[in-house]
Parts: sequence; structure tokens; C-alpha cells
Amino acid sequence: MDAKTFIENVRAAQEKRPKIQAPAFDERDLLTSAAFGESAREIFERNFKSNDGIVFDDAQKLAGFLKEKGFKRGIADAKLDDILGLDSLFEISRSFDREGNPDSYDFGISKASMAIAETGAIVLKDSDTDDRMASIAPWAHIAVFNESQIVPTLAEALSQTADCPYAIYVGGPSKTTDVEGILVEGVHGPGIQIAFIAK
Amino acid sequence: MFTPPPNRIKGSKINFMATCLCDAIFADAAECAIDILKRHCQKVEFPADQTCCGQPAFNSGDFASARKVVMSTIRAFSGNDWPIVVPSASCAAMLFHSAKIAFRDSPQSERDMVDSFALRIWEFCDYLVNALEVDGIGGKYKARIAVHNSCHSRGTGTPEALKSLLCSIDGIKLLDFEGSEDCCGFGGTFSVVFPQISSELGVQKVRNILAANPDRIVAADTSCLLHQRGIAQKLGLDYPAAHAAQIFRAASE
Amino acid sequence: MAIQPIDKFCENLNPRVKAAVHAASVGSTNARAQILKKAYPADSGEKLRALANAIRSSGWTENLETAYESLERNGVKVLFAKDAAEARSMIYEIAAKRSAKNVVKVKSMTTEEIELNSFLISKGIDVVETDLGELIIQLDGDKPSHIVKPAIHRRRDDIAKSFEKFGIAAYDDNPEHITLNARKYLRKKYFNADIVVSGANYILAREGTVVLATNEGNARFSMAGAKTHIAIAGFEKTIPSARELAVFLNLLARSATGQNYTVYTDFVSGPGTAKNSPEEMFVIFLDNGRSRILGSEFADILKCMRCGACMNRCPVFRLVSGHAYRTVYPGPLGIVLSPLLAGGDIDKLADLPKACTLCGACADVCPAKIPLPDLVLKLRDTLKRNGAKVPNDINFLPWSLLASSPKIWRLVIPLNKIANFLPLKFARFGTLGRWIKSRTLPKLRGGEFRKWLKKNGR
Repeated sequence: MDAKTFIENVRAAQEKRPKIQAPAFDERDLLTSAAFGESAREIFERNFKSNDGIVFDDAQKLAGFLKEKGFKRGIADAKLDDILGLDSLFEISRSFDREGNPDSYDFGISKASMAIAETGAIVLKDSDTDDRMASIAPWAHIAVFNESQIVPTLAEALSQTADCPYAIYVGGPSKTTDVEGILVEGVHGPGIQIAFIAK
Repeated sequence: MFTPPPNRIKGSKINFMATCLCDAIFADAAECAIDILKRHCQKVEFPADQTCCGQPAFNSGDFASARKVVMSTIRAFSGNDWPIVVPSASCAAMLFHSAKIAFRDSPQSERDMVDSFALRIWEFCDYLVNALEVDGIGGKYKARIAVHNSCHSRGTGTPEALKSLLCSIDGIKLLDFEGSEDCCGFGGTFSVVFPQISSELGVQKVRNILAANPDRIVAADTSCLLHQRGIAQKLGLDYPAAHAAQIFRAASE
Repeated sequence: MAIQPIDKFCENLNPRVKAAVHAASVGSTNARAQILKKAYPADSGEKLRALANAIRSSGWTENLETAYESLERNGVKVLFAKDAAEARSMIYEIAAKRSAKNVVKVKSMTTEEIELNSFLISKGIDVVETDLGELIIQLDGDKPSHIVKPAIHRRRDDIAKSFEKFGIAAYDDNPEHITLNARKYLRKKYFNADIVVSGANYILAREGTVVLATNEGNARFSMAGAKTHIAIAGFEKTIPSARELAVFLNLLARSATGQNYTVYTDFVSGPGTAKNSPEEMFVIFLDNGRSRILGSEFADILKCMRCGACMNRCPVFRLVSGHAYRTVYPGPLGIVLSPLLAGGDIDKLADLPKACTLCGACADVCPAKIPLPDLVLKLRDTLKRNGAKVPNDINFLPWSLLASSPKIWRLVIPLNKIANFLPLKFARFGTLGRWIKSRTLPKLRGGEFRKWLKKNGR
């Protein structure tokens, strides 16, 4: 159907509805109890961890964690400048090999565009990433951002999200309860989701 | 969900609507309700032309039949403009919330009559507490009581009013039980149009309530109790059900 | 004893399935209540529910027009499908033009409504559901029993058997392994996908953005794998902007599963600019009866955000599961929406609005405050006026004549005491038979109250 007719059908139907003003509201009315705490960082960490997200701010400790897991190979997104010295301990690719062996990466590391304290989510955008795959395909993903990139509320984050073709809020490792309602982490996305917070 | 209109009229001269169920079966409940109301009201009228609120036809989608009955009821209570108190949350909800839906395509004059009528309608416990503002029922009645809040009392003042009136009676202990917010499966004609689901829900409700070991099961609606008691007795179980008004009178005897 | 199809379904339903659906529904209901209280201690989200209702009460045309402009500005190709058939052909044409052989699906009730999968498969295109629950259902031609948790009626051993039968993995019924096996299997599908078809949880008009909410990450992987993204949504999914989205995102997951938010929220505003992202994007707005519903007294049902809270709460749904409703949308949502979407075939679904006790619990939990029981009642009226036949419908004309004739009423009611002497408890058929099968009859005391009144000088 052409756009004009389709839209006209909707308009004609809408004419039959009582005319109601769009409601006014204040972002403060939407704030959840999770938005409150000592600092944006503390709030973020609390909420991110409550969904089994893992937080590091020390590159060595991070490396130790990855080593403990038996990880060997990582994919570091090309737009991430500082890869935290991981290339000295692991085999790091800077470009995702989709055709060859896309499942060969144990972990991926990429730049986050911001983080949301209230919801405990990391925000990844196409504008700050070279390749989506580093954050999607490997079992573990490390999102790197500065403390100053943490915005306090969901409402504020939303005002800064849709300004690029693709953004995603990541609240922790992927999960499902589709089998008998039992929680399993690590479905299509990572089973381990790490936030690396640089100063 | 079944919120009454704001600004319903109050007063100490009232009409009593017995409901068709009390007219046909639960005479006791209506008698007790009138007795209680008489103590707190200057006058209680019983217009003889009253029959039924129209709910059975309305819930089945037969709006034409429902309208006939609602108009007859409005005529029956047109002798004065006093509040109308009814010992049934579902009948009250029908008249103050649902009836206007049956009249949505009717002439304005009829819709106005239904809207004004709605402002006179009060469920019994709601009226005692929120209109007459009685200071409890008082008296004594030693019993463990499971309160069943009928689905049609959702969103109304009835559950709170019923609770506070029972709590004002010395010796009553209110019991918690599982699934207290869940429908018992009566649903009016649903009980015979979907008998399987209705009875499974009824059995669940009866089992949950009896597990709390009540001396009495009390509701502001006789309709749900009719179904629950029927289910329990068929299972060979005792089900000492009573309308709230019966407890109130027993306490103050 | 049961005559109604849905009642019969309850009678015949496997008790294990019934228990699973019941437990899952009750669990989700409790989780919803808990999380709303935790997130909004003052009012459990009541203010937000009122806002969600209000935001969806106006502006459908304006939002649609604005979305159309914004999406096109973002490089999205926007199409308009008047009905299911047109939507299916549009999607097929897009695939055919690109010689696409492999389609991956993000869970979308809209695509089930238009029966997309079987259509594409009949044209020789491979279609794989990527949501684990939907994959499980798809494998053996099962149907979803719930709009949010489609495989809630399935047990680990039959899932494992299914996986083995369809070549996904060797038999292993450990839920974690089942999930890992699905992960392995779907990876191959993502990397080979030509097209990803999704729905849209919301479409932001001002920004021209499709919003998708998932826990598994399948939307994002599908979009990273495929070259073309097609999102199809009813036009009512459009909301003014990202600002309003905050209201809905704060309600959606809390109402659906008792989580604060889904793990992932994708904001898709056009073809991707990073590597491994779609090169082109389509949005198809679907009518399929929605504009007709918008212009009717049932417009409120279009406020639904497909959270499933109503069915989790529904006493009938809890005992019959989604399968009983014969249509894509079950529970309180379905008994209103399905007959309305059926258009000319509405009478075939006349029994659906009857499958409701009018308890109102659904309206209490609906995040958009849709007055479901009122819609059910109006639909019953509409169907009655259509002359639609429902088995064992009770004719209330005799009752209404009696109840609107006060003198005859006063005469007749006392006569009901005769029934106390009749062997009614042996009734086997009809309305009485259906009551007696599981309940005793009370003692009838017609006219006693009025006699008492007279005696006591009232």
C-alpha cells in the first residue's frame, strides 16, 4: 500500500478518537530507587554487578582474571587505542576474522561510548567501534570507558543515544530462562561481561 | 478496576437493594444487612419493585436484556433520590461502573439516568465505613476468619471497609491464605459455560482457604460463596461461609 | 462435560504442562510485583502506568508521519503493508531481489501474526528462529504457549530429544548444555545469514529509531551477521521520542519477567556504520486491521506493549496455556485482539471473549492500564449483535422479561422453593447439569426475605 493511503487510514481512524493532549512529565518522576547512591561510579558498579556484570579498574588484575579463565586469544577493536597491555600476555588480533575462524577468540575488548549508572548498563555505539563482532562473538567481552563517561540516569542516557545509526545498552552477560525457567548465562552474546573503568 | 464514580451521594436515609440472589436464596444475609443498617440510619426503605441489577445478562454480552433490567431497577428506586445500599460488591460494580457500557449507544437521556443512578450506589461495607463513618461494629464474635474479597471489589473501598469492620469486633482473627488475590472461578455464567475451568479454580480457592483452618469464610458477596460452598460440599468438605452482614449481626447480638 | 473449546482444552491438558505454565505465570506475577515495589517504593510504578496509557492515547498519525520522515532521513527504506498477505510478499520480494537464501529471525509476534516463516520456507528460503524458546518451538512445528516465554510448556528431555532429532546436537538434557548447543548451532546461522527479520518493541518517531529488547543478544548478533535488516511493526508501536521511551523501558521488563531491564536494548537507526553490521535496512509498517481497531471502541487494545503481564495474572490462562486460544495472541490480550484482527472471520473466534471470569486482575497489572474487562464485555456485545454462535450460550431474554416485570417477579420467586423437592442433583445435562457436576445446589428460599420484612413491619 502506498504511504499516503496507509497514513490516511490511520488519520481517519484517529479522527474518531477523543482529542487528548500528550501528557507532560518530568524525568524525575521516572527515577527508580536504583538511581540513588554515593557516586555515579558506585551506583553503576552496584547495578551492573547485580546482573552478574564484572568490574575491573586495574589492567593487571584484569589480565590475571583472563589468564585464570584459560583464555589465550583476544580480539581488540581497532578503534580502541589503549588495549591495557593485554597484547603482551595474549595473542591479540585487531581485526575480526569472520570468514576464517570466527569462534577462535576467547575474549573481545572494545571502547564503550558511555555507561548508565541507574541501570547498570554499558553503551556501545557504531560511532566508537570499528567492528561490532568484538563485543558480540567471544565468550567474554571487556568494555573500556572512563569514569567521566558514566551518566547518572536512564533518561539522560536516552537523550544521548539515538544520535548514531546503532547503539546498544549492555546490562551484563547474555542470558535466558527458556529451558524450564532455569537461568543460564551465555547464550548468543558473551557469558562474561566486564566493564573496565579507567580513571 | 471497578472504581466507583467520585462524589457519590451519602445520607442517613437510604434505600436497600436486596439483590436477586438474596431474594431467591440468601434471605439471611439481606435480613442481617437491614438490621445493621437500621442501627445507623434514620430510615431504610425497601422499594418493592426491585428485582435484579442486570449483571447476568450484561456479563453474557446480552446488552439489550441488561438494559431492560437496569431501567426497571432505576424505575424501582425512583421513589426518592436517596443513596442505595446493596450487600453485594458485584451488583454495586454493575450499577456504578458497568451499566454505562451497556447504554453507550443509547439516547443521552437514558445515559444521564444511568450516570445519576451510579452516584447513588454503594456496597454495604463501603457505605458503613465511608459514608455513615460508623465507628466499627463492636461486640464479640470469637472466630478465625478467612476473608474472600470478590473480584468485583477490586479498586473499591470494600476490601478495606470489610477488613476494618471485622477488626472492630472483639475475638475475630483474620487469617492469611495463599492465592487470596486470585479469582475463585465463579464469574457468574462463566461457572456453567466454562464448567471445567470454573471448578478447577473453585477447588484451588477452596483448598487454599481451608488450609488456613478458618471457623468462617466471609465475603461481601454471596455469589462467590455460592460457588465456593457448592464446590467444597461436593468434595465432602465443610465450608462455613457467611456474608459479612451475618457476622456483624452475630457480633452485636 | 466441557463444551467450549477452551474449556475442553483445560480438561484435556497434560497435567505436567498445566503445572509448568501455572508455576511460570505465578512466578512472573510475583516477580513483577516485587520489582515494581523495589524500583518505585512510593507507588509501585502507578504514575508510570498512567503515563504509558496517556502517551499512547493520541498522536498515532503524527508519530507515524514523523517516524516515516526520520527513518528515511536515516537511510532506512520505509514500506507500508495493509495486511498480512502484503507484508509477506514485501518481505519475500526483498529476499528474492537479493537472492537471499538464509533468514534469521528475532522473536516477533508480528511476524507470527502474518505467518511469515511458513511462507518464506515454502519459497525455498531457510528461516531460523534465534530466540532459544522460539527455536525450540520451531524445530518440531510446536506453537508458542506464551508471548514472552514461548517454550515454557516444554521439558528439558523433550527439548534434548528434539535437538538430537533435528541435528542440532547429540542428546544432552542439561539446560546449560542445551543453551550452549543452541549457541553453537546458531552461530553458524548468524554468519551465513543474508537477512535478519525482526519486529520492533518501540519505534521512536523523532529520532527514526527501532528499539529492540532482548536478554539473549540474538537481535544484535543477527544484525551483526546479516547484510539486510527488515523490521516489521504495527504502526501503533511508534512513540514520540527517546524521552517517552524512558517511561516504557521502565515498565516493559518489570512487567514481563520481573527484571529491571532486559540485558540488551538495541537502538537501530539505519544501516550500520561499523564492520559486521547491516548494509541496508527496511522498516515495514503494518496495518492488518489496526486502523479499523483504532477507529472503533476497542482502540485501547492498541496500547499493548506485549509484556505478557495480563496472561501471567489471568486465572484462565494459568490453567490452559497459550495453546488453548488457537491464535497468536493468548490470554486477556488475545481474547480481545484476536477476534478484532480476524475482521470478517470474527465469528469463528466468538468463544474467545467468553473465556474470562471478568475478575479484572489483568487490568490491575497492565502497564498501559488497558481496561481489558470492559473491552471483553463490549466485544461480547458486538459478537452477540453479529449473531455469532457460542456453544451453550444462555439466552437471557426470558430472565430479562421476568426481571423487568416486578409484579410477576414477586409472584414467581417464592415458587423457586419447589426446586428444593425436585431431584435436581441428578441433573446431567444443560446448564443445571454443568453446575451439579462439580457443585452442590443451595437451598432455595425465594421470597423469604420479603416475607420477613413484612412481618417486621418494614
